[in-house]
Amino acid sequence: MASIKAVLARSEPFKGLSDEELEKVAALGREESYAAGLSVVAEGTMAKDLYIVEKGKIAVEMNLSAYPGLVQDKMVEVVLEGQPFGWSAVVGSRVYTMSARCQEPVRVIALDGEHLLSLFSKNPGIGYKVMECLVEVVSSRLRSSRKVLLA
Amino acid sequence: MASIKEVLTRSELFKGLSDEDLEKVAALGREEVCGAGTVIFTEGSVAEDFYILNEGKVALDMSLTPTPGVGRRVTVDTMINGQSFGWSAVGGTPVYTMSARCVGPIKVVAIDGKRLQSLLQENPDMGYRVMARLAALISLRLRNMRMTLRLFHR
Repeated sequence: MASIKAVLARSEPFKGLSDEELEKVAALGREESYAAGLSVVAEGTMAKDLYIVEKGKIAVEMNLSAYPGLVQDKMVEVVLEGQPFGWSAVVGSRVYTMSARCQEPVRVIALDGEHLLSLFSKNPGIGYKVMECLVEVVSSRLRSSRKVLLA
Repeated sequence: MASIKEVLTRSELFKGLSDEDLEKVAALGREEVCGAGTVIFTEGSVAEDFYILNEGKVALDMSLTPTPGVGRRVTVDTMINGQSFGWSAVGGTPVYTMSARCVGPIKVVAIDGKRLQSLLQENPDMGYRVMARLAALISLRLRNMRMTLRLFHR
């Protein structure tokens, strides 16, 4: 099994960081496993962790229902190995905007958002790189959501 | 008229930066004036400039067809003083996701996105703060877009 650091070194938000920087991020990471069909994060709940997919495939789903209590999830994007999801843990109001469901058995690295944010303030070089990547992720979610909503 | 730096000081993206950093960003800015009804950029076109609104109101419109820029449009967000639009020029795919239309006469500061990107890269301290706010801004846009477009979803 790959170490957390090795997984992060190959991931989109953290690749290109120095060995020392990777150590700092890896120290905040926990490895978690989920069975196919389970939700890792649920839309509307407090965003605690940012995740990196170590193995498997995640479907990002958006609830299209206009009625409280009624769920009508629709897939927006698929997240693959090395890619992040759960960006709300370090961005804005810190509530997950969408759900993430495992399409197959999945292993992820979970990183506590609050700890990450304080690491970023102390090491803005890391913060810049990660935020640049997350800007790309959020903008991609926006584009994909538009397609789903207007399909 | 307010200087470009003053406009940045009051903007959601750049407020709180050091005086020195504000000067660097201000050096990239151009002041522009547009009349009511002017379309500053169209959804689907190449994103070159990022804008900070100094005076007036700008509507962000989106087409209700799968093809950007075509067919009936709906307003998904409205910008007022100090708010920014045209974020696609700074991060992600450099193609505008919405159209920006002047509701009345406006004054804006336009900043070349590529030059801003290199400035942020060279100054990670400022780069981190600005990128974090940009991510929050896009997530807000995503939320407002969803609430509006959901009404039209079949």
